[in-house]
Amino acid sequence: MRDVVVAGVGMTDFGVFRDRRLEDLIYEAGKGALCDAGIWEEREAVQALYVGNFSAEGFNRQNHVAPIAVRALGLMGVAACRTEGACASSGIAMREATLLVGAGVYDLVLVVGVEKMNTIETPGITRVLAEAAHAEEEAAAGATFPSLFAMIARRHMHVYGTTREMLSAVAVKNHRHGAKNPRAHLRKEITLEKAMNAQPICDPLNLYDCSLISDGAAAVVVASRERARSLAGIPVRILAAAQASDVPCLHDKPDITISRATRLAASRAFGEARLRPADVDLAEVHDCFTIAEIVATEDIGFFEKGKGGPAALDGATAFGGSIPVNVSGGLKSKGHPVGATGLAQVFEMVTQLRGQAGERQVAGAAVGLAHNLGGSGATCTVHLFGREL
Amino acid sequence: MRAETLPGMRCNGCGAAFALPGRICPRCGRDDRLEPCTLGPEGTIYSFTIVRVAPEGLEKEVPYALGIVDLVGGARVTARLLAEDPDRLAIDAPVRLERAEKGVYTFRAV
Repeated sequence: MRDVVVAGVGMTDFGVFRDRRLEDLIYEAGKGALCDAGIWEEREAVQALYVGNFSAEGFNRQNHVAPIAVRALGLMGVAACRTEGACASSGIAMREATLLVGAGVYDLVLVVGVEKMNTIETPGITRVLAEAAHAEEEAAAGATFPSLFAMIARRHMHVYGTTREMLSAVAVKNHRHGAKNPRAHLRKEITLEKAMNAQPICDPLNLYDCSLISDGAAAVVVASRERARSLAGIPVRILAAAQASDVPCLHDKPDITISRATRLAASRAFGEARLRPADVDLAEVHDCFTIAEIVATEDIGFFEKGKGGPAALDGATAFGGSIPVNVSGGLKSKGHPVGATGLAQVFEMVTQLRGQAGERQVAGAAVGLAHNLGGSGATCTVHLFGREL
Repeated sequence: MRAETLPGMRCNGCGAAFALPGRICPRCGRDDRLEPCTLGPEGTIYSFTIVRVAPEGLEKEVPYALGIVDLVGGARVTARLLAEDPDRLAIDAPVRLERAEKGVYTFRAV
């Protein structure tokens, strides 16, 4: 594999945008990334377009999403396709683009992730999201995503002694981080007391354990290191692009407190980059629910199994801690437009590794990790990024 | 239909059992060592939750208890849970299969 870099990033604000169409979001993020790379006016140079999207059919009654993005960005004729892997949809798109550029098939690829969710009422959104679980074996019984992660949380509490307070510590931290991110959906700090006593959703998870239902898009220009020399954006190296799978049903896992796909993808990523978890300066981790961040920080290898909760409570994962996690605010505060999330993580990594993150800048950040999880853990991508020397 | 036991499959390659007539073992991926078995009707709660925000179509049923049940025979299923006393819902608490309708299993705490 030859060296591959991110040559440009773009992102919309995340929030509720009832008056903006899918293509409006794609246009803003995609143009942002191409402008950042300095090739908006010469965008016929883009050789392929990957679009990460979970369920435009469910939220927007739209399939065949890639041509929507082609027209929205004026990339007529380009090879374009959509990737779907639930909440990891655009992490997969990112990896496919990286592999194809690394293999020498393309020199320049645009990757866009998008979701416009606030088109239907909450019960409908809950149903569409539940389609990422097994339709017959889970959703038919009434399983929803909060319920699946609630069962993971209850088991984690039972086995490791993780507490309600530890879950809430993740929410408080990510809200504190997100308050400093101008693109975040909910820029609001919350108290531990408020987080612990919020409206129950699926016991033991409450409202503040759940990520937000957001609209938004993010985009990334992936290029060979060679090609990027003639582009305007400050390149950030892609040190690893790894992916792994697990069974679709939670009940088929021997131990639901362990995300096997996370462990596999992370160990593959560290192997590719010849790095260890201790080498990572900051991470964007898939906190669709507070418990998901705790599990991920354990299974990536930042903490021993069962120690993710105490680490969150002690501030190890906070800005200024030993391994800052989700300094963007994460899915919890920045928001979670499902198909955009994987690339929004890349946006944060690139911004941080370029030293352009303003008041949320992690000092001296040189290596960053992005962890994107689909479903109850059946699909996982882990990317490692490095500051260009 | 009142269910006494559930039909399942066991993989003699790795020992895993599962509740649907799959062709491949979801634990080890082998397809050459599967044989039918019976599961339940007794089991224990592996984990559970109370769903308070419903998906479309189930709005009138909330709150409802959902769990993952470890069945006698070794398989695990996602199922609805019923209990006269909500305190009976706990990890490792015994449950019994009450019905299996349209592919949805319902267990009652005993």
